[in-house]
Amino acid sequence: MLFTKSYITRENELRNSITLAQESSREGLIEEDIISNVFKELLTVQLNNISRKNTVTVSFNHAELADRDYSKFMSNYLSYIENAYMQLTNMRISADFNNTFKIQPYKTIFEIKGNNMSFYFSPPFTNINSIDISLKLGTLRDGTCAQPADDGGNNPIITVNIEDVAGWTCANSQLLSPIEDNNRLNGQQFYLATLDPPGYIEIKFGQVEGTNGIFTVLTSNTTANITQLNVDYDLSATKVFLESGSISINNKTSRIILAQE
Amino acid sequence: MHLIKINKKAVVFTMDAMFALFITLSFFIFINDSLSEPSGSIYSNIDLLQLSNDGLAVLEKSGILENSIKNLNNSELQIYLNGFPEQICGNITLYNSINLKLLSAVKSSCAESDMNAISRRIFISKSDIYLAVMEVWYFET
Repeated sequence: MLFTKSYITRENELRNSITLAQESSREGLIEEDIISNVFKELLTVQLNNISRKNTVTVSFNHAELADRDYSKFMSNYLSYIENAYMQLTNMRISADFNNTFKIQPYKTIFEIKGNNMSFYFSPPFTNINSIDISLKLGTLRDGTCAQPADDGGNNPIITVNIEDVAGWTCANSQLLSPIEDNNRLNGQQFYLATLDPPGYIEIKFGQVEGTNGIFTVLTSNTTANITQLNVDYDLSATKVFLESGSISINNKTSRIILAQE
Repeated sequence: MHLIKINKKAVVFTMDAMFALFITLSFFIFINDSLSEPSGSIYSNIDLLQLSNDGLAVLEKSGILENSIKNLNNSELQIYLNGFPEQICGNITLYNSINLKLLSAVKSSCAESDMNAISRRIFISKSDIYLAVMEVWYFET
């Protein structure tokens, strides 16, 4: 009797500890499963790397600007997770993320919104060294590339490489002030008109709609596949990481870290 | 010379007692061995669960889940399952976001079993949400 009781107790304790370990590992797997789809599959944004030498460069090698409602994709995804997926996994799941993420510790917000993409930099803007973007258009060019006047000084250097669907390319690079007014078509943008249907691509850095320190890519009647996008900052004392909202599984809430140095 | 007279009865009792002691000790050692090792069934389920979790992660990262949905073809899933070790059986079913079954594949020559481990993984294809479910179990003859 004594042995039987001891055996059963031991077996139950073992089962409990294994169940607890499994549960915790399962929570981790579920979190990874949910987050792994957010960045590349839903926002189409692919981080290449975060490199640290004399400066820190955050480098992306894919993003698509097309007629897509990224906010809707994200809300559909959240709704699926918080309903159907939650029932299937028998866990309490709630998540809070959208079509943006933040580059920390620089407090730069990235947003992708259909045909447009923006970086919202935080002051002081002196920690931005350069922004380098290469993109391929889905249509033909109409004319040639325009670029803003160079502001000189210690302003960040903005480099833009555009390739149209026929392989024609243009490359421009200027030092631009993060607080200069960049209202549309005031001659302060990198700009290329496109054909069939008539459209354009516009890339600007500076003050946009009253807010300083914005880098934005706007397209109309064309698609743009961003093949390279490097943002170069001054060195930070802490590790650089990309974060986007939070996720809660069985009341355990954690920040969503999409990538880190 | 003084000879000690051996009591034959006492010898029998002593041997009997030693034999009983031997049996009892063997029993204790046997029981102790059994108690110090947990039953295998607890761990075998963990192994199966790890296999199914890893399997789905590999299928997603390698793009096989997305390809299968794009082409509505289960051949790549079938090839993956047939590559499992001989003693492992498995099946994969793909559902859309409203839980409608779209595709499935079972490892060849495997009969269904109740003793299985189940894993699920979300994947995206053309911004649509899908769910892959993998069940794995030990081959039963």
